[in-house]
Order: sequence, then structure tokens, then C-alpha cells
Amino acid sequence: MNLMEVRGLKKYFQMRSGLLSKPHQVRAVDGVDFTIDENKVFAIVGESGSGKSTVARLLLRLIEPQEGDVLFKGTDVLTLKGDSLKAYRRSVQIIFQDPFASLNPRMKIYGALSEPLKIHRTVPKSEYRERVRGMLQRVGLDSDVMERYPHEFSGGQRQRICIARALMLGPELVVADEPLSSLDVSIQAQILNLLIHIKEDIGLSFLFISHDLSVVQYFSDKIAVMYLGKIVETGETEELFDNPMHPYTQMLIESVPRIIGAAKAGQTPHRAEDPAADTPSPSEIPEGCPFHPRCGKRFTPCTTIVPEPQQRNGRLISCHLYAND
Amino acid sequence: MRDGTLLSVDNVSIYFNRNLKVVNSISFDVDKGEIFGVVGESGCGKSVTAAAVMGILPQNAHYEGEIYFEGKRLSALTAEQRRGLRGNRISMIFQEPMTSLNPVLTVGYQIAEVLMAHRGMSKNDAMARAAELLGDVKIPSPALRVRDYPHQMSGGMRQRVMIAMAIACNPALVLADEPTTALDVTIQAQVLRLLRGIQEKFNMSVVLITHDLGLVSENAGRVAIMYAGRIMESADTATLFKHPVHPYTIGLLNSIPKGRHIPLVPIPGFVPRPDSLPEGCKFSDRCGYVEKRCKEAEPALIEIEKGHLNRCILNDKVVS
Ligand SMILES: Nc1ncnc2c1ncn2[C@@H]1O[C@H](COP(=O)(O)OP(=O)(O)OP(=O)(O)O)[C@@H](O)[C@H]1O
Ligand SMILES: Nc1ncnc2c1ncn2[C@@H]1O[C@H](COP(=O)(O)OP(=O)(O)OP(=O)(O)O)[C@@H](O)[C@H]1O
Ligand code: SF4
Ligand SMILES: [Mg+2]
Ligand SMILES: [Mg+2]
Repeated sequence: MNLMEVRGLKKYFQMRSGLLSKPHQVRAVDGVDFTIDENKVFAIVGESGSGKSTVARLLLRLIEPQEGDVLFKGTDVLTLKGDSLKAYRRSVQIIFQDPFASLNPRMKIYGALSEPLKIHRTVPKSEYRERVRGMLQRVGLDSDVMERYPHEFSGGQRQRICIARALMLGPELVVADEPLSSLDVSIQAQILNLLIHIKEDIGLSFLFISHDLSVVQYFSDKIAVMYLGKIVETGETEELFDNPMHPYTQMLIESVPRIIGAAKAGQTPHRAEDPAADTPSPSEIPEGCPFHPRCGKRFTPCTTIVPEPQQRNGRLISCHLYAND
Repeated sequence: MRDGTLLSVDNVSIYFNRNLKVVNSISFDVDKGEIFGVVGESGCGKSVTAAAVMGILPQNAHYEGEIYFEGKRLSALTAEQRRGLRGNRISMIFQEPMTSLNPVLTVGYQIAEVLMAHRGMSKNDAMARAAELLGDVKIPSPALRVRDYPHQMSGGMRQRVMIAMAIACNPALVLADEPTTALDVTIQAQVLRLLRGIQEKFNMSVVLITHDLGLVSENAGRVAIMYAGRIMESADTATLFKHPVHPYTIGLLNSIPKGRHIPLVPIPGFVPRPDSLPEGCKFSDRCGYVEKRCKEAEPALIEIEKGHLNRCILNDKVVS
């Protein structure tokens, strides 16, 4: 069953960089389609600025799109108002990258976790403490943390607190925007395991945003690869890693530094380097295929014609190499 | 010191505010032409160690022990002699180029400054050489880009500029402190290929500081694993990744997702702060192999096989 369906979603920002410069447009999200299945982890990967967080903010209705549809269990999310919007916000929660910034430094942990209960009035006040205690336990914290302030905790513990807060209202979908990237390697594994346990325990769906491909490979069921506001490839995680089809997906997977076996260590041959082809700015997205300036496989149509998403072996790929004839 | 040793860090401890010890008696040698990896989680002392070698520790910090570079004891040099090394024989690449580049000067001028200071070049010659260096780090149309300001460049381009600046005087040693952490993975791969190419061509030595074990595995010849201001294990990368022995190294390796069906085994607890380290072995509060004697005295760093050092009472017992 699909839980969330996104169609043709677009978000352009108007920008003015200097006083005299002409306003220009940042095409942050430029027509994306995907569906998140129930009880599954859907991941979005892509480089910095590709539009991942903008997608998250659009789904949560923190910002409004120019175009497109977002359906949650078949209901149009973008027209929700009043009580139905409030109910939607109970069902869809977010966890951010920076657990330091997302907790109020002057509020004790009990206050932070009971706040959602207060706002949404889902349970009587007499039950708050029990709810908070139960949730803290679920994320691996003792109930005596309730009376302490955020600064008394390490990054990993704070992320646990943020996860607990996101779960207080029993959401169906959790949007996790780089929830591990501010944490140390040994702590990342703790939090990732926690998310997996929670998912299995209470049957949640995740939209998991990350630029760490090994984490995504481990945790997600399905992946969308974003590049400059567009999804270039979508597929089942395992298949996509076994056989990446879009040249950008291939480049991405090849670029991940891997721990390599004995004989080869420290001696990876390196290729002679072409002049740097950098990710263009989202306000100057190249004509044709947005990836063509960096693509080793480009051919005639790539520089002028935008490739449309094509269905191929259960994948959705936007690349002229896979165009239907 | 052995022949072929370029840098020797000998029993160095680093302190803040006189008595807060953040690095505890670390020793390692870097050979000519090698890439030496230093890995560890945040706060373990990687950057301050690099700062001590570079001679740029903050005012409120000092080190004890000795650092030798090209056979010279750095603490015996005058301030002027040290300045003569910095940016010239030893240079540094930082994680965030935006904070180490001057926003109001063109990137070309900032590279030229290094050449004028250390090579006594005229401004014109230095600017011409700066353009060549931008070409060496594969920046397209270098003759035009020399006139760019840092903010006009992408993160990857700025990191290339930092590399150009670092190699301008053909240094013997480059300290690369998380040189690609702020970059996207595809750009990281490009920048590292570039750095590797230059390193091989000029037979430079590089100290590659990172928290990414994969990066070290692919690029370094030898590696030291740091924890709480100590070296816990050190070996050539092939040995370390094939036969890790220290429980912390093993814990780190088990914390990285390797494949979909290989379960993650995290290290419990959290990374300690230098003012609240446990007694005895500094990893003992998180270690799955801990015994009573681990808490009694801190294990010494012992050579368990030629070139393979380990700081753990279990030592050569098969931990992995
Ligand atoms: N409020 C805004 N006003 C103007 N531009 C914006 C705004 N929010 C985002 N952008 C731009 O939209 C593009 C996409 O940004 P977004 O934050 O979604 O990227 P991201 O994929 O999450 O990147 P990262 O990996 O760095 O978090 C970027 O170019 C960004 O600068
Ligand atoms: N200016 C300073 N004043 C006081 N303490 C400092 C200062 N700079 C660093 N420290 C402390 O020294 C210890 C080592 O810091 P260092 O920056 O070397 O860590 P690191 O290994 O580079 O970590 P990271 O991976 O986060 O860069 C830390 O505990 C840090 O808090
Ligand atoms: S000395 Fe003891 S506590 Fe320390 S790493 Fe070895 S087994 Fe673990
Ligand atoms: Mg983001
Ligand atoms: Mg550092």
C-alpha cells in the first residue's frame, strides 16, 4: 500500500544576490515524482543543494510548492486546513540533522517531550508523565533524564531525545533529514540501530534523507537519487546498488571510499584527472540533461533535450541512454 | 630516527590552559613520500596534533615532548625559522576552505602571497605562477579564475585553491586535516585523486586526518587510530584493516554499514571528553572485552608485530 504519493512537485525560489543584480530563480525542486510505501524506508540521496531538504519541507507543509500534488493515504495534503492539517501534522513528523539546534535549550526534556501532547491534546494531562517515560525507555534513555536540560547530553543522546519527541504522537511517517551526519561514527551505528528497532516495533514508514550511501544501502528499501532538483533514478535499494543505471548514480556509488582488503590497501590506483567538472549552481542549471557537463557517456541529445523519466526494469530513469525508441 | 623519516612526533602531549591534557604522549613517524592516515572521532586530538606540527597551536595551548622535521628539533627553532617552514616546507589544508581563505582577496593573489613571502618572487611572476598552479589543480580556465574571489567558487573549487596554495612552494609535508569532509562524495573523489597525483609526482609526504576509515584504507600506506588523545593502534593499512586487534578499532569497523545483511554492532556509550576520562584504559568504559586489570593501569602501546602497535592488555590474543 502506498502511504504517500508525490507528483510533479516543484519549488522555485526567487533570489536576488546583490542590490544591482537581476533577480534569478533557484529551481530547488524541479518536478519530482515518487511514492512512499507503508512500513518501508524510502531514501533520497544526492549532493548538497540537490533539493532533498526542500522536498522534506514541502511534504511537511512548512513551505508551499509552485506546482504538484502530495497525497497522503489518498488525501490531498496541499489543500488541508485547520483540524485536518493539524491531524496530518500528527501523522507526519520530522527529525533534523542537528539535534543541538532542534531542542529549546531552556526547556527540560520532560517539557520538550510533553509539548506535542499538550498542543494536540491527544491524551489527558495525568498521562503525560507515563507517556514520556515510556518513550524515553523506547529510545534507550532512563526516565531521570526528564528533569535535565539539553546541554547536559551528548550529541547521540540529544538525537535520541529528538527521535522520542517525533514519536510522541504516534506518527505514521517520519521524515529524517540527515539524522546521523552530525554524529560520530560509533554513535551513528547506535542511532541507526535504534531507528531500525523502532521501525520494526511500531511499523513506521520513513523518508530518509542522507548523503551517506553506505547508510542508505543498509537502511532503505527504495531509493531516489536527486541531482539539481530532479530525480534521475528511482529503484529498489538492492537492485540499484547491484546495477546502477544512471551515469550519475554510477558515479556516486563508485565515489564512496570503501574499506578494502589487505593486498590493495593504500594502493588504489588513481585515474588521471580531467579538469574539474563541478556541480553547477541550482540557479544555473545546464540545458538538456542537468548532468551532461559531468557525464562521461553524453551524446548528441544530452546537451539540448531534457530526458524524461522512463520505466526500465522496475526503475525510473531520466537519461537518454535509456530512451524508448 | 630512521633513514627516510621526514617527521617524527616523539612523546608529544598537548595541554590547554596549562593543565588540561588533550593529547597524551603520542609518537609517530612519517616517512618521505608516504601518506600517513590519522583516524579518530571528534575531540580525540587530531587537529591539535596537526596544529602542533604546523606551529599554530592557539595561545592558551602548549606541547611537551619533541617534534623533529627533516632532523631538526622544532622547539629549538627561532620564531623566524618556524615561519620560514610554514607554508613553505610544511603546509596545511583545512576542512573548511572558506574560513581559511581571505574573502576580500582574489584567490590568485592569496596563492601569489605565499610565493612572494617564501620565494621572494615579484608580484607579476607570482601571479603568473598562481595561474599555473590553478591549472595544476585542474581548475578550468585558470588564467581567468585567478581573479575570482573565494565566494565566487564552489566548495570543491575552493578546496582545490587550498591545495594549490599548499603545494605552491613544493613542500616536503602536507598536513591535510579533513580535506574533503565538507565536500560531496563525487567531488571528494576528484579532490583526492588530484591530491594523490600531486603527492606521487613530487614525492611529498601527507598526513591525512579523517574520521573516514574508507578514505584511509584507499589512500594511506600506514595509519594511526586515535582515541581520547592517545594512539590506540597503528599499523600499515593492509594489516590494520585485515587484522585489527584493538577493541576500539574493531568497534569502529563494526559500526560502519558494510552490506545490507551484515548487522551493525555499535560501540556503546559515548565519546568521552578530555576532562572526564575513565581510569586505566581510556576505552574501558565502552569496551566489550573489559577486565578488572583494564581499570587498574593504562596499557602501554606495544609493538605486537613488526610495525603493528597496540594499546590493550589483550594484545595479541585473538580479539577479532
Ligand atoms: N528559502 C530558500 N531561499 C532560497 N533558496 C533556497 C531556500 N531554501 C533552499 N534554497 C536553495 O535550494 C537548493 C536546494 O536546497 P536544499 O536545502 O533542498 O538542498 P539539500 O539537497 O537538502 O542540500 P544539503 O545536502 O546541503 O542539505 C539550494 O540551492 C538552496 O540554496
Ligand atoms: N581552543 C581550544 N580551547 C580549549 N580546548 C580546545 C581548543 N581546541 C580544541 N580543544 C580541545 O582539544 C581536544 C582535541 O581537539 P581537536 O580539535 O584536536 O579534535 P579533533 O580530533 O580534531 O576532532 P574533530 O574530528 O571534531 O575535528 C578536544 O577535546 C577539544 O575540545
Ligand atoms: S585494554 Fe581492556 S578495556 Fe581497553 S580496549 Fe583492551 S580490552 Fe578493552
Ligand atoms: Mg539538506
Ligand atoms: Mg579536527
